[in-house]
Amino acid sequence: MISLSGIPIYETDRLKLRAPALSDFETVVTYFASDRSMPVGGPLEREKVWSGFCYGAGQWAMRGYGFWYAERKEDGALIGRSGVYHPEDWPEPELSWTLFSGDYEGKGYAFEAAQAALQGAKALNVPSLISSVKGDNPRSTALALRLGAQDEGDYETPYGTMRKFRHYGGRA
Amino acid sequence: MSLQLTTERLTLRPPLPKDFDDYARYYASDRSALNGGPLDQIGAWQKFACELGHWQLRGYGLFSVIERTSGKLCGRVGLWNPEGWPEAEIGWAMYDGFEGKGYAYEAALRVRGYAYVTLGWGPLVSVIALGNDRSIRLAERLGAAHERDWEAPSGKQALIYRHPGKDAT
Repeated sequence: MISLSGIPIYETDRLKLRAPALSDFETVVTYFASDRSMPVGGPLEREKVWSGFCYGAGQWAMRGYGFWYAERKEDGALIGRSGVYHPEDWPEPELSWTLFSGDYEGKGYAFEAAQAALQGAKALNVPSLISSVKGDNPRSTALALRLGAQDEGDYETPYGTMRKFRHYGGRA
Repeated sequence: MSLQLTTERLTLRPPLPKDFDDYARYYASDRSALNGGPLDQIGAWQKFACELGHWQLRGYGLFSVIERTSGKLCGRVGLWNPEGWPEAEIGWAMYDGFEGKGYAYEAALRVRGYAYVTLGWGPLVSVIALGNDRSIRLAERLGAAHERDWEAPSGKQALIYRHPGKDAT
């Protein structure tokens, strides 16, 4: 069982990816209060955000993998998170990325974080990895392809039709 | 996390992933109706992960309670403080077949002592769903008294019981 203190830390040129911490919570609340969170089920009130945040910390213990929180090395700002989301009703481990504010977009941070998380997932022996993109989301689609994922077309998820991009594994 | 508390008949330790099946069985039954249930397997998995995460983030949480003679899981008792709660509470839920033995009382007493002595906390509360008479009796047996009514963020009505503090126990 991986506890938060046992989660490996990764550094990229500009970011540090580390375990979630209680002090990250308010930033996540602010993100989920904004319309930016709509692609991941938001906006959400803080009690709901807490359940998800707690779940994320617990998923590390249950699965041995989860989200890394990304700090900008230059100033320590918590810019987003990337990692492997895999609740009980999801078909496969999912590589996901989120920037907590529009101020951090357009700088390549999401790619940098997701690339490190992809390597981290492999290092943790996550057996297969997809990214699911809902609706018309050219930004996420471009990022998935830039990460080297293969477009496998639309499929049905518990949250409706999404487009599946496969990073590795999972084929018969 | 090697934290472990013991009583005459019970061992209390933070939950482990292998505790999930008993947890899911409890949440599949109507017994869980006054503790956020019933839940299907998916919902139970989500909630169980959340309980593990609560330990990780806050450093305390609901213990898995184990009957020492049999090694069986008999419920959860511990310190619970999700966002939106009035303050950290001492809570309990016993699994089917383990009620009526005084286990919840024994475990709650131990957890309360741990909170007061080891963590240095002040008088604890218990948040009890309206209509959970069994829990109210246990709270009263522990010396707690009704302090006020409270509406949870979910809209559910609850009662807040205040336990005696360290010096009174």
